[in-house]
Amino acid sequence: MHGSDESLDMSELATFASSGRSENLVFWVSRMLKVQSLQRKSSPQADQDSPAVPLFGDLAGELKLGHDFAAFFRPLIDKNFTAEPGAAVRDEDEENPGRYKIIFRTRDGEETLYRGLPPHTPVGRCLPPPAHDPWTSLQDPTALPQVRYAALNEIIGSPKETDAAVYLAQQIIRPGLPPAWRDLVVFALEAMHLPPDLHSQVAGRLMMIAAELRSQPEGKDKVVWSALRRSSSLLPPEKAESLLQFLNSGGSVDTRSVALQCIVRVFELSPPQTVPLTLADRVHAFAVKFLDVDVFAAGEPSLIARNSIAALASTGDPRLQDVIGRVAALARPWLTRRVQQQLAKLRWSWHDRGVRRDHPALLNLNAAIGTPG
Amino acid sequence: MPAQVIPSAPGYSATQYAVIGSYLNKHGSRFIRHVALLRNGGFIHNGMDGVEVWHVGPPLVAGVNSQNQTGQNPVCKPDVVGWLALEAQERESMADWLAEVDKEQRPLGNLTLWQQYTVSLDPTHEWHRDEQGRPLYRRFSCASFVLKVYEEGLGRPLISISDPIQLPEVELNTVAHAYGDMVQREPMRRRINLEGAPPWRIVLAGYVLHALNRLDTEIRTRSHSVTGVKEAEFP
Repeated sequence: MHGSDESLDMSELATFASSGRSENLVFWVSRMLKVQSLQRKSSPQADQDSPAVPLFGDLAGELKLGHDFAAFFRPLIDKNFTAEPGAAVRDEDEENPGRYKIIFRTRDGEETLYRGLPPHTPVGRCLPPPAHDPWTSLQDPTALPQVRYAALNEIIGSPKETDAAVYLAQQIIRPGLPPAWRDLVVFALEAMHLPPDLHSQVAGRLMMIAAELRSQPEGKDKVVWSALRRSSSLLPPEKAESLLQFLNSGGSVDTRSVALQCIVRVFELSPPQTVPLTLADRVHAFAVKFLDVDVFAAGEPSLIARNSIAALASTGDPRLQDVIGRVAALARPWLTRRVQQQLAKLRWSWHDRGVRRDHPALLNLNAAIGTPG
Repeated sequence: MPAQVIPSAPGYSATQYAVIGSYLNKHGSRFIRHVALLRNGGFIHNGMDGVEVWHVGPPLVAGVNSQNQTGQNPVCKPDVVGWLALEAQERESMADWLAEVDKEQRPLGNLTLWQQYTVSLDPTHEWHRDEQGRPLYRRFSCASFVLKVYEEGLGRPLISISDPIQLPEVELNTVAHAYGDMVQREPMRRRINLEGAPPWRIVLAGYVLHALNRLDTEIRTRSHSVTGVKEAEFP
């Protein structure tokens, strides 16, 4: 059967395919590709017209496409386990004149439609991106911030992750970072663990960034909240009162709800020996206000109420009993249950970290929720 | 009330926080690939492009805050619905729980998209912690997110997930139905805490709808025991 006749047709091929004699099929497909190649070369337009995407029904082209696409996918998905290969068709978006749509289909048949995409700029045949070193890209101050952030994405989970965390900490400590890169570093620091010797400096710098951005008119709320949260998880308890400024209204970003969470975070590992009164007074005022029967509502307001109760508990303030009484007065069993859950979580955190049973804050907490520690 | 396949006509009037299930997008499949909480009550029918939900994609979008942070307005293809008739205070309680997870610190960007996702039921995997061990934010799968809002928010556990030994073992092929081919890669499995060799005892989305496919009084008094991996499909 392995004759030398180069004139073959699709019916012959189908016969071999259905016969199950795959070795013959491979042979004939190889021959077809060879013929296809010879035919292209014999055409005067062949060298200029070398389509990357064949017409449907062009078996040889489709087989070749498999190879081309594999070469296209490989560098994009290797070492990137969140990338999902699939097939896509691009077309003009009839609902958005001048824009494009792409229908993407994963290998298990899930289809997603992306509409309103900007017109594409033909850039010629897509080649695998050049090899690069993400560690070099991350440190390249001339690279776009998004490129540096993407490089960081590649480093996460690699042996260089700790080095990257130290590098980002050193970056944020430096004044005068370009704003776009600074914002991305703030976000990235929330996801990374830092060595202890950098905690204090990074906490101080992030707190400063949060305060500065809050006072600016454009209101970068996400950056402010992110900086504030990360700062508080690195802040030593004796500096907790620096959060007071974020409990006041004013500035372009409302930080009050986040700041209440941050107070709990600061004292979650270990309660203060003495109640930080200025801070506790402000927190107590929040609790009283949001537990007022005329103000209370489920959702964000109830969360602020609960967070202020937890913050008050974390400071060891004896007015905790009073606010627990206000919770009961609202006659919402679910709120009582949720407050109990939240305070029990704080108690377990202190218990797990070996806080003394006779610590005033722990005794205060136990008295308020009615269970011995 | 029993869960049901949503008819194409005349449709169905669903209440807020009903559980919406979406089938795997393969012709005739009854495998529930995703579950989510219906954001607002309203009329839904099969064939709609999607209804607005709160869910874990990832990312988690459970309220206005995470919606703004992620820039996503999640919708879910409504194929199946399950619900419990909620009283006003119960809806308040669920709103409060949603507000809490909505406000938890979840870092932005692709950098940490899967960091906030776990299929594990091990309590040590539930929280992402900072370098000093402080819990920063909870990690969910789409199914455990829905189960937790009912268990912690409402105080009604739909399925007992505290002891994974009560759940059936799930093979890799079934997990791949739910998560796509990416779970064929070991590093991805590790990231979502699907560790070691299969099978695993995890919660699949379909179980949630079977848990709701009971009378209200039963849902309120005892949690559902999953009878087998076949409950990944509904009905």
